[in-house]
Amino acid sequence: MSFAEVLAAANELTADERRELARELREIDRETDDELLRRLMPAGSEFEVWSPWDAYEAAGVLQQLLEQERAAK
Amino acid sequence: MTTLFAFPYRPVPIPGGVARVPLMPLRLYNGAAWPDVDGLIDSGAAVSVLPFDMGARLGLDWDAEPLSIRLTGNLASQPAKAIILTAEANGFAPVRLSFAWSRMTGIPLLLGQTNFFDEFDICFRRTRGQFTVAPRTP
Repeated sequence: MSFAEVLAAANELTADERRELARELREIDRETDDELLRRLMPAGSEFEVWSPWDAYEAAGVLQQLLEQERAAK
Repeated sequence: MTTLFAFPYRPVPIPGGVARVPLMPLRLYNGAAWPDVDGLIDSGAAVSVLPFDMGARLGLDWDAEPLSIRLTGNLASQPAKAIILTAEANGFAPVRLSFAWSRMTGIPLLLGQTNFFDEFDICFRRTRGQFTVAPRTP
């Protein structure tokens, strides 16, 4: 299969499959060509996550858990 | 034992382009499961976040984890559990890292202040396309 055929076949994949393919390619070659990644990404897809910058309550619980583990050793 | 290591910023596809982000390869351990994963070093995150699917790959049992915690932002829409895992990266000595194991999937593994930044000193050198990681010194 030629590279052009691979790209054409990639267009037949679902948005989720194309995202997965892009992730797999990154694993194969962590310096994968930027243009290839751009072409594989489904249009309009977003990488949505907000940092839990103010999750201080959760941080306190995790800190306590770590301290309990250290104390138990 | 390795004391300092430089990692490259890695390309991540985003709508209309590619972003370069500080992704750190590491291995997480939970008994017989030890997947190699990439963690997004997020100095703005109060905690580290483990996506649900990654926890499942580690063999974690959601129902068996007793301690629920609450995340914020868009991660607040899903429940989370408090867990501690052993992590090893690039020849560094293994460390115990705490995570908020989120029920959410399709998100990156976040390495945040508690307690990733308690265990490692990070220096971002984006202008040089790299960041350095050094284990905490006594």
